[in-house]
Amino acid sequence: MEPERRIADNPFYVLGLRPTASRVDVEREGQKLLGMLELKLKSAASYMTPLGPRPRTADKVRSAMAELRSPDKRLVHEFWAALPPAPEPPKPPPPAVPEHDPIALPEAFAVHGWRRP
Amino acid sequence: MTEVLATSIVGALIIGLAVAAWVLLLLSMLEPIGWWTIRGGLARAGLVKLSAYAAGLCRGIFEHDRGGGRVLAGALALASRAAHDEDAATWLEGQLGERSALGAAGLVAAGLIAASRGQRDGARDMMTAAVHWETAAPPVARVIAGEWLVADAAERGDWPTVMRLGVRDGIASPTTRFLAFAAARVRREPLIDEPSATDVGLRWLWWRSRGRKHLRALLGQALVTPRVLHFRKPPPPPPAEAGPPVLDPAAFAGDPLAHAQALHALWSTTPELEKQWTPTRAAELCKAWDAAFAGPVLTRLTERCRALAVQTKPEVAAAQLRHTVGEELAALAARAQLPLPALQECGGIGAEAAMLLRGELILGVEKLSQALRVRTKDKRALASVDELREWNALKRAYERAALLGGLEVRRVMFPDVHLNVCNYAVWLWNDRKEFGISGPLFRWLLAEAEAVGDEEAIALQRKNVGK
Repeated sequence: MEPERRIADNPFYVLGLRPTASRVDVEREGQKLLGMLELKLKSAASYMTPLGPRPRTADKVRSAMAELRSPDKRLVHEFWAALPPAPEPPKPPPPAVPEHDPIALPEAFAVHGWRRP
Repeated sequence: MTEVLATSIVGALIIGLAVAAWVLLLLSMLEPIGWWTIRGGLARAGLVKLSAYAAGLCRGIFEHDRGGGRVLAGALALASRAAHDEDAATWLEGQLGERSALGAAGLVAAGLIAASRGQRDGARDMMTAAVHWETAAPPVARVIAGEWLVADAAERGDWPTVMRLGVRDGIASPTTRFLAFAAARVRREPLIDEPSATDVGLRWLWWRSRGRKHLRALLGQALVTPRVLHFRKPPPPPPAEAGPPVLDPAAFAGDPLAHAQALHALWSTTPELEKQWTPTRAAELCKAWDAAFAGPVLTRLTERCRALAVQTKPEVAAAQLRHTVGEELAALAARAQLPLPALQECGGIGAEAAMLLRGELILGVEKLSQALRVRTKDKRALASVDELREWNALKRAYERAALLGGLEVRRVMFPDVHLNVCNYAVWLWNDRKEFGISGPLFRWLLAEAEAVGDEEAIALQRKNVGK
């Protein structure tokens, strides 16, 4: 699994819980979120991770609950959930643009009548 | 009476020959117009087969690779279509496969087909090989390869490459020259062996370019930039102001595991890692992980194993997690193009990651090299383009491993690669007459043998390249 996904899709973040949560907490929170998602409540549509907000879906919630039911898998997820979720959405760093660079040419292939590869 | 008839026949023959010669001369003069019509009309309209058949008339333009020229015209049409057409691509590849040895025009055609399929890296390799084609090549094919490479660089914002390739003799066209001159003007940098363009010169180049409407904005930007006549070395850029961190690892300094994970997450999600992940930063991350595994990890895992009634022993779980971290550090180092010795010097988990990466790089090259060996031994020939593609894949893997592993890894890989590639190149040269592909292979082997100091290989490859 990619490092970014390992953190962003960690079941604890998906369910909005910390690694100390009990099995009952996991089930209760999962069911609550599934209900909220069915009602399309905005507050359940995303969750916070240390890398910023991510969209939450019913499939993600179900998969997170299933992962945390297995003690071996839960142990690994607890390890990778040592960081608390970010308090607010972080802003990506602006890309470094040289002072004097020509404007981007996204139509460079179209100049010759070619489709972009 | 008979004499008069004979004289008339001879006279008619002479006139007929003269007329035929004039017609041929006229056709050869009209050929560039014909090619211009095919490229600007038929190919632009996406008419693959019609472009290919019509290009068959341009015998002079594609003198050294006529079959390839036909496929090239078809591939230009394929690249101009609104969406990729796999049937047309297969048909073109079939046309290319019918010919024995690959020529430069055929190679450019294969590059355009690959680009049409979205295989941009592969297309770039083939266009670069066409630009450096050593045997006789149709100039038109080289120019199209140059145009594609310049467009590719311009789209990626790689303006130094645009400036370098755009004015290079043999591959430059009015469009690439305009792009190179405009980029040089905006960047206030000189072009190699070229003067700085005047406003009139820039407008003239723009006027001669293809797709002028797409280049109008660049022309405008170039014209508002003052012309620099005397270039000076630019002063070093001021250090960029650090923005607010996405994830601040310093905030978790009290918890070694959280600190290590914060650093790990930060670098795993950083774009353009190769510009930022220096050996110092790599060492910082490795030390953070070493501190985490030395301290709280095992204690925490032991507690949690007991609480969760996990069957895995805490030491085993810790070792598995450590291996995962090592693999991810190796992947980070590969992404950042961090030299292996720098990772090795970090010690602890850094050295483990270096070993993993070293093994992975060498194994990758070995697999490709062995595949080549088996195919050479079985004399299983591929189409010329696929031969080139396979060699490019091996070369790219080797050069990547050499870049990261340095001379030590190069010396480990070279004997096996030399043996297999040399046999492969000899097979291509002797049996299949693919001089365009095998020649550069011998030259590459010689350069590599000299770099690693393999005297036996140097002597052999010098003989092969005729030095």
